[in-house]
Amino acid sequence: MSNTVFTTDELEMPCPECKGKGEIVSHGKSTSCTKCEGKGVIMTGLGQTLLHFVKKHL
Amino acid sequence: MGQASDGNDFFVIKAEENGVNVIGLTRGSDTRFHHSEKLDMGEVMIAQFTEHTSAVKVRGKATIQTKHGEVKSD
Repeated sequence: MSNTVFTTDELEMPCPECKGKGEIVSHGKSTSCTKCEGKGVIMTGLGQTLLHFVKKHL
Repeated sequence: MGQASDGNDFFVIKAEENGVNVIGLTRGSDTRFHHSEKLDMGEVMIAQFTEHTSAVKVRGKATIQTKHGEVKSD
């Protein structure tokens, strides 16, 4: 059985809307990014699978 | 198979370079990114629009096939 190593890239990606910042600045005002809900990242299927597994068994 | 016409049509995305991102957007009043999938060159993803996903954004060089035809993204 081979070992699998995950990189962060495989678990989440920077939000393309806010470029990973979690907030959008317009007219000098900063607002939370609505596309990623301010997280700055979007989870991948693998990331969601891992998170659900950890939550289930924690 | 391949003859779906009940609203559950599937589409195919083939990555033409490493690091192509397929991003799912939520159905409903607020359009959020709820899922992303990274494809490396040559990887294929077959997907459907669902109760949760009403739109898909593809970033990177890929070939996308739908019932409407084929389109290439850069």
